[in-house]
Amino acid sequence: MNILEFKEVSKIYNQDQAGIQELSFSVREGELIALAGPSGSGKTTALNIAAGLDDFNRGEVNLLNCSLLNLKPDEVLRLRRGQVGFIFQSYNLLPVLTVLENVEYPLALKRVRQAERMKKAKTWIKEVGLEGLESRMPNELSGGQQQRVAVARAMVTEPKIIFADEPTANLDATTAEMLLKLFQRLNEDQGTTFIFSSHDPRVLKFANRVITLTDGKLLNESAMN
Amino acid sequence: MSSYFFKLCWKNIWRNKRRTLITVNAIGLGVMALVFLRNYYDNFHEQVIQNVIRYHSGHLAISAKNFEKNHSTQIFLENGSQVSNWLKNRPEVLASSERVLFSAMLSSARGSTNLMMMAVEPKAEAQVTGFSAKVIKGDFLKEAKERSIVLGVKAAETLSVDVGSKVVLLTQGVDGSIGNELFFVVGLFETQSEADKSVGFIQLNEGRTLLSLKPESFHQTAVVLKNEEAAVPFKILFEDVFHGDSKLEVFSWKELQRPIVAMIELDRAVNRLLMILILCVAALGIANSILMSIMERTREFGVMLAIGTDRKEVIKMVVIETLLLTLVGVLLGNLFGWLVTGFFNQIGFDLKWLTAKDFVVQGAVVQTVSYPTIRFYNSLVVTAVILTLALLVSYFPARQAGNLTPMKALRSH
Ligand SMILES: Nc1ncnc2c1ncn2[C@@H]1O[C@H](COP(=O)(O)OP(=O)(O)O)[C@@H](O)[C@H]1O
Ligand SMILES: [Mg+2]
Repeated sequence: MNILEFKEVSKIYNQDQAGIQELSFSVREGELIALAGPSGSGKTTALNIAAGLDDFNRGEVNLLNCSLLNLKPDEVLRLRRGQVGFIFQSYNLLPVLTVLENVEYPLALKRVRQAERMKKAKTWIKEVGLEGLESRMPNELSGGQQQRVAVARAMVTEPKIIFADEPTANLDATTAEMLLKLFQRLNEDQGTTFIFSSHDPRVLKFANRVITLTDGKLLNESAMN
Repeated sequence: MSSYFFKLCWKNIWRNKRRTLITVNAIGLGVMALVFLRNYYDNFHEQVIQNVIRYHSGHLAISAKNFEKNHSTQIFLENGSQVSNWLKNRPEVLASSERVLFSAMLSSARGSTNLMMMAVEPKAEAQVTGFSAKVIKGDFLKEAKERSIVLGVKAAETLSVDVGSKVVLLTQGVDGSIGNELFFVVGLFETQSEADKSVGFIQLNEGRTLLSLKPESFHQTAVVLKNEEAAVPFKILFEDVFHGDSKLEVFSWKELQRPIVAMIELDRAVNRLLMILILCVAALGIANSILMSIMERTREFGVMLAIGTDRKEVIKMVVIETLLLTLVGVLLGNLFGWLVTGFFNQIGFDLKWLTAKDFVVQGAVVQTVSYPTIRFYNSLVVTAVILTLALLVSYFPARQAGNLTPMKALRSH
């Protein structure tokens, strides 16, 4: 079953600057997908559109069996709160909150009671390998640890799909690999679909499939083993 | 909003400690100053009012028509017993004192001075005004003692007289005759006010004799009621009962002391203006502080919006942060306002520091030292106004945050 479908989607920024052009691809539930391509090729644009963060000019996008064109803003919001997770390149975490509080955030949005919130958050902090660092502040963590907290925060609502825009761009090679291995494990254990973008060939090998963009267009799709 | 988001708001306002502390200080100082000033002024005004009532006219003054306007000894009530008897039977009346009022020149061996003389029945007067309690040497008038006079300490100083000294009183009677009599100083009072220089007391019947007035006539009777609020209704009642008597008039202390009432009203208006100015400056500080903190956090709002935070929740957060920030300042300001009020309640706050001279309004007694008390009403008003202003100024930063889209916000740094 397809969890995400792009059908000839185009996004024109102002002054005729094309973000993506007639982009079509689809992602099946449980896949671990890499969106590859050089800087400016449209990866961020595609991810933002896929996640309902940005609008598009032409084409059709289906996320979790819903056409994004037909969704009202609060329906998109509900989707984002429950079914979709996000990880960004950097500055992911709220700097005034501890690790535990950061991971609790999406649950607090969903009005989950404190005891349950803390229990779930602690479980996921442990799952990403940061047990014992619950009361640290983000600036007391390394970049890799911060990204793991972001993963725990994305996973805590047990979403169907997680979007990660260049999650390893600010990490060194070893840390980047560790993060991708975490994606792999969660993908296998939880069945969560992952779509991450990267222009770093070294991390692409962790994906089941690589979708490569260039100038906002699909260059090729290649399955890995 | 859950405790989780309150905690987040609270932590957010402390992310730039210096900026927040400056803002909190500004609010705190403004609130402190206003709370203290309002407490001080309320007390000062009440004291002025009480002094006017206790040392001047009582709550109400009933007098011969036009007497209060002209202060002429020629204007008097010939048969005042009707009024006096009616007053004695009214349950609202605490006390009333008939007075013959005239100006006189007093001379001693060493000097002379002009005084506002009040010829009174000592017991009645003692119930109406506080002079008898302010006698610091000798006694207030006693019924049995003839030709006694009580003076203020300043007047006694001018005349170089003391208790036991003789003074000559010279005045003009209502028929044009000269009243001239020797009196013995029996007591000196000190009110620390204008009255110490300018007021003297003698027996009511001796005053009548001096002015060639018949028994039962007087210029004014001062009435003290059991309850100050009853002044206006009582005045209306009196006018109703005596409305056939065109020779009478009755004034409440507010009508008799218009300059003081006007001064109090002016003070209050200035205070209100001051409050609005100070709090507007504080509100601008609040707006600036929050707006800056919002603009620094654009990317963070982007993350929050992207992971499912509602735009409305972002706006709510900004408003709550603004209110929390204000509340910290308000609490500190009130606390210190109470401390300052409490401090001056102990040692007294003297307006002389500011005026550098005696504070006299139209000859009425105004004591400059005041011992302010904490009035929660004032804190309530100041707090309500600043919180309302904070709510208003939070509109701009809230709009700034609310207009963000996750996309715009995420692309900025
Ligand atoms: N906000 C924007 N306004 C105008 N052009 C934009 C904007 N965002 C992206 N673009 C353009 O769209 C194209 C794709 O950008 P992007 O999706 O950020 O690529 P990538 O993430 O692969 O680096 C680029 O040519 C970029 O200049
Ligand atoms: Mg990008």
